[in-house]
Amino acid sequence: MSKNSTISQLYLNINELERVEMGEKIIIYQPYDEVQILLAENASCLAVKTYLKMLGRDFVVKSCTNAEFMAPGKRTKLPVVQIGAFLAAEFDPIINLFEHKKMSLTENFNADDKDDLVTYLSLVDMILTNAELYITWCDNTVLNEITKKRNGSVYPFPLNYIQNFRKRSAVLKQLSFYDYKNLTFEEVVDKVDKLCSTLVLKLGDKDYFFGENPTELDAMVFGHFFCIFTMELPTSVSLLKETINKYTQLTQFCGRIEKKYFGKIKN
Amino acid sequence: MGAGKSKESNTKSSATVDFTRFKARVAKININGLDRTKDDYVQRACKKLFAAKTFQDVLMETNHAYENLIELGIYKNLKAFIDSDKSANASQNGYVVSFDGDELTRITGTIGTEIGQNDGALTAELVSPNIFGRGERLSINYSYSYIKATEMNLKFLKPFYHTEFGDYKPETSITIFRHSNVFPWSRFKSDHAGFLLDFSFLMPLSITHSLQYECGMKEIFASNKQTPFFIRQECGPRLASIFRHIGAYDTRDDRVFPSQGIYVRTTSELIGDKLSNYGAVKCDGHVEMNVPLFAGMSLQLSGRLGKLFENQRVMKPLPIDSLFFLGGPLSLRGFDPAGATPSQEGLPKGSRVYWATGLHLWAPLPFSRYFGDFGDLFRTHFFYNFGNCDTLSLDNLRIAAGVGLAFRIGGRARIEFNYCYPLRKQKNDRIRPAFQFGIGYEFL
Repeated sequence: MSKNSTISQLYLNINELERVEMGEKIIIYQPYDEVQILLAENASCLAVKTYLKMLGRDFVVKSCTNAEFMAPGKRTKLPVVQIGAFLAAEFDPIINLFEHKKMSLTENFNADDKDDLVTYLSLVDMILTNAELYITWCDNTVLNEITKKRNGSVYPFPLNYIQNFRKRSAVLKQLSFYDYKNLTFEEVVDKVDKLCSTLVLKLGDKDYFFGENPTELDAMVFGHFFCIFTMELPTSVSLLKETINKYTQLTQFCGRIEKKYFGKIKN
Repeated sequence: MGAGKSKESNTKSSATVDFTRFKARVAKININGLDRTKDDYVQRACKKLFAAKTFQDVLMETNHAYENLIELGIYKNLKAFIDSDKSANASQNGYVVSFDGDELTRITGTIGTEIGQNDGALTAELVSPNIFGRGERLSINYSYSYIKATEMNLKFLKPFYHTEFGDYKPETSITIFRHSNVFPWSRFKSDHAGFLLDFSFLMPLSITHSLQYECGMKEIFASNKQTPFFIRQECGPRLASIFRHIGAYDTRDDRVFPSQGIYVRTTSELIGDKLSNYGAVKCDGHVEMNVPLFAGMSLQLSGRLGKLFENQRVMKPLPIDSLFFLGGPLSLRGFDPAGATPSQEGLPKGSRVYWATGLHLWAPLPFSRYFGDFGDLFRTHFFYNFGNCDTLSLDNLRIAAGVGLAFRIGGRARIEFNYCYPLRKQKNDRIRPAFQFGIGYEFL
């Protein structure tokens, strides 16, 4: 191939482009950790951060009050990730974006494993996210003592009341779509309990769900469980934490990931 | 209107009768047809009738009283009668003035179309006039426009025409509103909901003032995936607490195709992002001057100026939906809508200061006198627009000139069809040479 041929030029250009993309800065936009962020949002943000750590990519976290409104669409989505000109929100679209950019944890997976992965991902996402939303917005103690204060903290009076109301109605709509709205707290915990036993079966004695190497599922499970462990919840909903704590394999799994990827975070 | 003065001047008999010769006094005024309207609300409207000394005065004041009564907003139709006083102890020059009419029904409604700025809208309105008998008016209206902007208002208005300050036409109102706007050129939508308190009155020199307080929630949405990040950063709900003053002065002979007169409108706003935190002042003004020339032609000079003063130590910078955008068929012709505004990532990002002027030579259509009234619906014009963003100087000027045809719609709006030549543009401006179409009610 001569140095000046069109094809070689094109090849060089493509390589150049990919290299630039690899060097692109990744920015995660999320609500303020200390005062604003809620359980489900925190879990989703932590899952994405863990995923990026697993990919070995550096990222910058920017806190801003309106992070949840940056993504297109009526529903609020978190976190928002910006890579160069690309923008994606929520766990799934973010993973798709990275795979589009040829960055994946599951390149060598066969079709069966991939199907498995997708199934587990959607199962974990649905049950844990809805359980978290249920606790944050349907349990009266949590709602009045924590959720309303945190969610309204960034808005001036009287917008804080309006935003709390709007967000709660949106969440209730979502919960009723998944048939979670009319469940009792015990029933929700029961669902989480079942999920945990399924996950323990899948995990077995392995380091990660799919063997030696971490996958998206590990990132997501860690994100959710770690947030539930560390979040200070009133005693009325402590049953959830206790239920997950029963499964020592899962707590050990979280401890392993925390130690490996977030050495600095103290529980 | 002194009666004594006119007595000397009508020795000659003429075809028209000089009513000032006849002494008259109004003995009685009947106002009929009112049921739920309170008496004190209409009394002031006719007070001046009793001061009439000649029959001419009676006629004039009856006319005034008629207008006043109509203005009160309680009558559907109204007739005035003047008759001599026929009661037993009537004086010789006594007259009785009667107003007969039908009161407005409890609920009236309209459905129609409305012309907005480069936009047409379908509107529906439901009004309950004169609720408590003193002109109070409750109205609900909804409009949906061509570019998918919606507007919903619930308004309660209370006039104070019957009080001793009635000459100043004081009016108060409270409005609960919800507007949604589309900014297609910058790919975002905005929602604005809240309430508005308004107090407006007429001051000497015929300047109308409106003092308003508005408190509401403004929310910006990215309209699609192509919305750039600098706009997304401003998405989300915000509180907007605004004190506003609107002053207007209008001596034009016509709103659509004026040939003489001056029109000035200024809007000043004090904007806050909390109820107790105000950090921005927004001023916007529009001036128009018309000078009649020969052969039905007229010269029009108009100008607009807007400036935003912000104290960034007090408040975060105002988001994009509060900024100024220049360009488009209603302001700087020959440019795309908002096309003369500084841009970022290829989209207009708004400007904190702008000015623009327009110079028009208006002329009727050639041979328009053969078309009668139909010809009056049209005007031709030559225009020369220039303006600028981000600075009040003459640097980086944007200029456009052209010729066009304008068509009157109703008493307020017009359609313009222009051939434009952008003469000078700046880098990244988006121009639209050749034909451009504009529809609206306030043009530059």
